Amino acid sequence: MIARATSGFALHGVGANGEMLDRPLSPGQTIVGRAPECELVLSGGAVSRRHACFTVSEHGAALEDLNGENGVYVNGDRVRSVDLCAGDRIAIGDWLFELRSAGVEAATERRPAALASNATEVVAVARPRLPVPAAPRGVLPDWLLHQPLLDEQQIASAGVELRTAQYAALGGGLGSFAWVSLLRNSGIAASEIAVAGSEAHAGDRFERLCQNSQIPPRERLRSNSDARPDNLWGFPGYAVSELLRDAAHLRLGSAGRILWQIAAEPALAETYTPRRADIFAGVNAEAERIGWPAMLLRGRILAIRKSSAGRLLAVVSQSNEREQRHVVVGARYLHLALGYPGVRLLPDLVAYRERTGDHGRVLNAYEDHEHLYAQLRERGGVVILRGRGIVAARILQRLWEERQHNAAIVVVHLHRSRLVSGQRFGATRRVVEAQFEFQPFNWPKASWGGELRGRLEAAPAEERARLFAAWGGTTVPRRADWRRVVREGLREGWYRPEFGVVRSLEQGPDGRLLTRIQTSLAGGGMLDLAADFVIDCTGMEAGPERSTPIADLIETYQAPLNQLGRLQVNDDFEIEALRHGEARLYASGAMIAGGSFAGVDSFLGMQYTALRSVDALLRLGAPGLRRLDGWYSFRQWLKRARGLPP
Amino acid sequence: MTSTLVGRWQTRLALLAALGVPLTALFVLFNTSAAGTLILVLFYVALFGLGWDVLYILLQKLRWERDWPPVFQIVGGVAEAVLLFVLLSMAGLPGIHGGSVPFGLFCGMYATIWLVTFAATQGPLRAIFPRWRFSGGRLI
Repeated sequence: MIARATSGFALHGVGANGEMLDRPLSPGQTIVGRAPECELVLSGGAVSRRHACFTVSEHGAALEDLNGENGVYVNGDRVRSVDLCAGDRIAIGDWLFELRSAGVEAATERRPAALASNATEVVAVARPRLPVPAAPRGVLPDWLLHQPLLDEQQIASAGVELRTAQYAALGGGLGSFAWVSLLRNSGIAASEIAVAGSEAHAGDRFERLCQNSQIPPRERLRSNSDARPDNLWGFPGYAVSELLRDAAHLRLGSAGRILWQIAAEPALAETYTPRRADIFAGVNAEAERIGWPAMLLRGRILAIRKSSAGRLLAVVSQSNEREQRHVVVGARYLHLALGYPGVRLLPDLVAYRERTGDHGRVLNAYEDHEHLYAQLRERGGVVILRGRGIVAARILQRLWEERQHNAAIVVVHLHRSRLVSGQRFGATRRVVEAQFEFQPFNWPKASWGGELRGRLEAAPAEERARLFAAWGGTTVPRRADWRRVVREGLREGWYRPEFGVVRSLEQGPDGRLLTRIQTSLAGGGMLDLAADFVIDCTGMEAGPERSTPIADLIETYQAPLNQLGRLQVNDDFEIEALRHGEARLYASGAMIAGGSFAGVDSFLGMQYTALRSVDALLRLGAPGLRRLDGWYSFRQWLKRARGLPP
Repeated sequence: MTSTLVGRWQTRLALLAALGVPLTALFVLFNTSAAGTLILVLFYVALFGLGWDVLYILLQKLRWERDWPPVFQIVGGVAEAVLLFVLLSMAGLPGIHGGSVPFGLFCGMYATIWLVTFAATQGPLRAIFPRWRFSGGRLI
């Protein structure tokens, strides 16, 4: 239910003293606050200097609380970072807004005639009601929500529905899907499982991230053949499915190539990787088979609480433009998989954007930036890339495509320092070519299921940090097409690396972007790089505090963080701080990186963490659960192969 | 495959027991005169294999990914067969006289068993043991 802008967004609001505000939101970020340098300055004592940030892209609108002191409320729920839905009511300090999109009638006020009729807008509604309204019936009041131990009687007397199940998956994305799929294949009925999440389909969120980072449906992901979210056995892999399809259509060349890839990768052939479209088609089919739609409760997870009845509860908001509504999901065994909390921009780029308000030329690769390619194709120009990972490689490939239309495009790849040799581990070393370090996946293969996985699990925390540093880092798969682009660019001179630490980024006298670097090459010295665009390809992830329910877990239950600043879990991927009687909370995905397993945010990693946490449930004697192994596993596999329900 | 040494040993012995034994029985059925020899050949494939696995693990440590692509398995399978047959035909092994195993029979039996067990490691085994691929090839 992401609000989609067809011709931009506009912001309308009303302040405490009845002052009106009417202003379009441009694509990119809009910082809202009391400070004069904010893009949108709001008056009022309850507004922080830098209070919140709206982000608008072609994929929707999102809102983030920058300060956390006075809070940002969406439909009465306090949020940290949230995708906005059409009709959301947003309270920032003493100001109140409503987000509407085409075709949705405002409940309280007519749309101003001055606006384009197909625009999504934030429209003021009648004051005063927020920022913290008395909770209507069906909504948990703040005082109740903030108690670490919730009384189920009080939930009922607030008129809030409590849905109970034996198992609950919180998140509703691919991480939840892996866990639920395993439970369903281990003898648990769909009626015993609740799934809470904001997406209609398990793959939706991931699909959106793919779209944003230049991976169209036919493009291949950096993932392996047998890492199948729709098949926990990983057999047959994507490669075999694709090979058989190719062979059936007599595309024998392609079928032969895939066969050679899976036999010889990564030593003698390029690693096979599956197409985005095949992954999502498979997930959707498997979702139907295991009864995902019937288990799904759509809504935003606000908080996780211990209950007086020995359960763990998830408070889910289903508030929309018409009504406020909370539902509480109670279960004994829960699984939390909320995905990436967000992407961060390099600090000097943030500073530049805040100082100048220029969001169109200094960009994160995950932001919508099609306008950049359109301008380059038309007029040419210089692009500076920051970061040497897979995102940089994808952008470079796209720039190469634009160069086929306009040869006046130049790419400067800015690195902090020269990569002289690849990372070493034991007797082995990664290969470096033209400043790119090669590795098929983001960790060595054996860290998913071989020698390296065992070694990491056995290692104490300090040793783990050392191993992460050795195996991780910024790498790209050795893809022939990318290597060709780089070689061609270096040879023809339109692509070149530069090395140095950025000292400043500002607008030069000619209006272009001037990046001043202190070069890290021998001899040193300062170097000015003029460019038309700067793209941040570092893909830095935000910490767990950016997620509303996780920040709440840390605050309410002092859930500890590990050495990487992510949620600490034990080797069964359980958040021990949430143990409550027999109730258990497990987690997977990016938010638990840094523990006993490296690839937690990969398809295969989500399946592994699911297996480990369900094995822990078996040891606890979880009712109805059967160990998926041996003959029973084979029978379940056969059912899947024949499309029968588990 | 990203097996550990213990995982390799377990997988090898389990597959030879579960698939190699019945397949050997099939060959014995049609070559009753060579029954003892064929059973001993299977035994030596397993025994020598335990040693080969040590070598594979040492080589695997020279690979960044610590993995063992299928094409390496194929090369290893051929090397194991060549060494075993050379030993059998030149010097013989305890219980088997030198040169007493016909080339055709050895090739047929070895190739059949090897192909079936190799195919099992390429996926079917995972349908029965979903944890196998995460545990470095260990079954217990």
